[in-house]
Amino acid sequence: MPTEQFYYDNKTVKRFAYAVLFWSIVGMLAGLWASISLFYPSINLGLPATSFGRMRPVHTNAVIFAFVGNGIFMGVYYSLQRLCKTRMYSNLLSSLHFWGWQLIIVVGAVTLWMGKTSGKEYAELEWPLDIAIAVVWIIFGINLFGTILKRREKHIYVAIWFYIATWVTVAMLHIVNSVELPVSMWKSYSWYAGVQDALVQWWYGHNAVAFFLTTPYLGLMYYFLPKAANRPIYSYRLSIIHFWALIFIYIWAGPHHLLYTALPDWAQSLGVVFSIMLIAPSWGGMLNGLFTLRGAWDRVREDPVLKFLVVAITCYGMATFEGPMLSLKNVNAISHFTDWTIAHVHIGALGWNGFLTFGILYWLIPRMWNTPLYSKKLAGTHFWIGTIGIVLYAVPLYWAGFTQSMMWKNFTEEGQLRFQFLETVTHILPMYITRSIGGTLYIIGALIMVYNLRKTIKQGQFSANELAEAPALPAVAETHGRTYWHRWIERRPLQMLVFSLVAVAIGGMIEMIPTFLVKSNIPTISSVKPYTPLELHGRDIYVREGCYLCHSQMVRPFRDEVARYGEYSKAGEFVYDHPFQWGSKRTGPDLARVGGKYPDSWHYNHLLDPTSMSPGSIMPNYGWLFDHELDTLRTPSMIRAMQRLGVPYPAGYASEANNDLSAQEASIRASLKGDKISTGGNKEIVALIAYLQRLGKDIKAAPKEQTAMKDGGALMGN
Amino acid sequence: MIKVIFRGAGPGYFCDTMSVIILLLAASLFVALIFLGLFLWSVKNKQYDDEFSPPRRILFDDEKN
Repeated sequence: MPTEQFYYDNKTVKRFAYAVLFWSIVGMLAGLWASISLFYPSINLGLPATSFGRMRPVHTNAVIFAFVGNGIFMGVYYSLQRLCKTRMYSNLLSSLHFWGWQLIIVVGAVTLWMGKTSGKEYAELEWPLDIAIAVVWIIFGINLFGTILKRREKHIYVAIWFYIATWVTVAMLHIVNSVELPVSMWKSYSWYAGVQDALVQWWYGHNAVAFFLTTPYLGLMYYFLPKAANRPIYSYRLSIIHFWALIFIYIWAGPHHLLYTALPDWAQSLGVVFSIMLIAPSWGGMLNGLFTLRGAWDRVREDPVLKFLVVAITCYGMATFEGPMLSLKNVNAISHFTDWTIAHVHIGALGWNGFLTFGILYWLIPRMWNTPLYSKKLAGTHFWIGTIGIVLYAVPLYWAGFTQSMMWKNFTEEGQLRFQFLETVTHILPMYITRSIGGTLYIIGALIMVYNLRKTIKQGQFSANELAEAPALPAVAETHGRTYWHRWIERRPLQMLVFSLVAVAIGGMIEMIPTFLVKSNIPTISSVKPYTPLELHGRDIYVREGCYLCHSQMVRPFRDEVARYGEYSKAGEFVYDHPFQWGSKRTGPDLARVGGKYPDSWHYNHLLDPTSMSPGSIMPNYGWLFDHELDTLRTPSMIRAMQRLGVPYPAGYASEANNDLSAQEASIRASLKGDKISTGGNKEIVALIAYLQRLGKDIKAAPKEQTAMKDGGALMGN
Repeated sequence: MIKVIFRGAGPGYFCDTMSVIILLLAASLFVALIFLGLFLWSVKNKQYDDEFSPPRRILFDDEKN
C-alpha cells in the first residue's frame, strides 16, 4: 500500500506545555497562599482579593482548569495525532482552542479575585465565562472528532476512547450545572434552589473529578506509560473492560457528597452503592498500569519519567480506594466537613494529576526538542522533594481531620460538648503549618522542573512540524459509502463548526426544558419565607467573599451537631436559596442557625476583627465591608431575577423593595447604636449582618408538629 | 415588613423538592445511551477483535527524521 507523508503539529503541543508549566506554578502558589492564611490570616494584607475566600477558588480553578486542563490538551494533542496517524484536524481550531482557553483562565482568575463568583464550588466562574467555556469546548470537540474521522489507523486505541468520554461528559455536566439567570454582566443566580441546586452541583462536582481529572488522565496513562516503558500495556482487554465499566458507573455516584444532608435517603444510598462499585474499574486501571512495568522495575530505579508515573498511578489507586470508603455513611460521618477531604483530593491532585503531568513533561519535551533531558539528577531531586512534599501535605491533614472530628463529637460525662468549636481549630494549627511546608516542598520541586526543562529546551532543536508517514486507510468501499457525508463535512471546518453548534444547541435545549418544568418553589415549611431585599444583598456579599468555603449551612442529624448548632436542617428550609450555600468544609462553625444567636453588635465587631470576639480565631478581618457602600440600584433587578426563578415576591415588589431595604437597614443601625456603634448609611456590613441574623430563623417560628411531620421523623435537640 | 404572597405547603413534598433528579437522570441516561451506542458500534466495527497488535503498534514511531 502506498504511504502518505504528513506532518504532526508540535507547535500546539509546545504551547500547551508552556501553559502547563506556567499555570502549575501560579495555581500552586495560590494554594500555598490560601493554606498559609489558615494559620496566618493577616497574609491577606487586609485586601479582599487575597483573603482565603477568594484565593481558594482561584487556587482550585487554576489547578483544575489551568494546570490539569492544559495538561490534558498537551497530552491529547500529542498522542491523538500519533494514534490516528494524522495531523490535527485544523490548525485554526488548534490555535483558537489554545488562546481561548488561556483567555478564559486569565479573565477567570481576575474576576474571581474581584469576587465575581456564582458561589458553586469548582463552577465559580460567572455566566459570560460559562458561555466562553462551552464555545472553546466545542472547538476542542470539533478538532478532536475531526482528527479521529480523518485517521489513517482503523483501530481506535483505548486512550482515544477516554478522550471521547471526557469530551462528551464534560460538555453535558457543564451545561446542566451552569443553568443560571444573569442579573448583571458579572452576576447570576443559579436556576436551581436549595436541595435541587445541591444535587445538581455535586452531580457536577463529582463528575468533574471523574471526567476532567480522571478519564483524560487515564487516557494519557495508556499512551505515555507504554511509550515511556517501551512495552505494551499489561492487558489490552482489561483496559477496554475497565474503560466501559468506569464511564457507566461513575456518573451515578455524585450524591455521596451529600450524605446525612437534607437530600432524601434513597438518593444518598444510590450514591453509596455506585461509589463502592467504582473500586473495581478504578483498580482495573491502576493494576493495568502497574503490571505494565512487570519485569521493568529495574528501569524505574533509573528513569525519572517512570518514577513519576509509578507514584502517580499508585496515588490514583490510593485515592480511588479511599473515595469509596469515604462514601460509606459511617466513615463519612467522621470525615465530612473536615480536612480529611482536603487530604484525599490532594492525593489525587498532587499525586495522580501532578506527577503524571510531570512524568509526561519529562518525556515529551526532550522528544520534541530532539535532545536528552538536561539533567536526570535534577529530575530525580524533583521526584524526591515532590514525594516528600505529598507526604508532608497529606499526613498532617488526615491527622487534623480525624482529630478535629473526634473533638467535635466529644461530650463530657454530664452530657455537655467538651470543646468549643474554636478550640478544635487552634488544636490543629500545627498540622496546617506542616501542610504548608509540604506544599512548599512540592512547589520547589516544580520550580526545579521548570529550570530543568528550560535548560533542555535551550540545548535542543524544536521541530514545529514533524514529518511522518503512514499508509492511507483502505478506501471508502468497505463502509458502503455511508461515510460520504462526513468525508464531505470534514473538509469544511467552518460548516462543521456551525453544524456542531446547532447540534449542541439542540442538545442544550432538550436538557433545559425539564428545568422549566421543575417546581422547586412551593414552600414545604410554611414559615420559611423569601429573603428581604437587604438580606438578599447580604447573601450576595456572603457569596462574593466565599464565606461558604469555610462555613457550612447544613446541620446533620447528629447528637453533637444538634447540641452545637441547633435543630438539624430540613430540605424545605432552602427553597429560596439560589444558589445553595451548604458548603463542604467547616474551617469555621456551621452558620445554618446562627441567626439571633448573637446581637448585631457582636457580628459587627467580629467581622471588623474576629479575634476581638473570638480570641485565636483564624478568620481574616473584613475591613472593606465597613467602607463599601451597598449598590441599591441593583435591588430591583435582583428581586425581578428572583421572581423569575419563582420566589414569591408580590407583583411589582421590585420597585418598592428599596423602601423595605432602607427600613430594615435603619433598624439594624439603631440596634448597633444601642451598643454604642455608629455606622454610616448604606454600608455593606449592615446587609451582611441582616443576612446572618436571618439564617435559620424561619424554622424556629414554625409550629413544632408541622416541621416534625414534614420531615417524617422526631425532632431532636433544642 | 415584607409583603409576600405565600402559598401553603404543596402536596407531594417529595416530588417538589426532588424533581430536579429527573433532569439529572435524563441527562445521565442521555450520556449513558451515547456511550452504549458507541460501545455497540465499536464492537460491530471489530475494534476489539484484535487485542494483540494495537497495544504494540503504538510503540513504533512513524516519524521520518
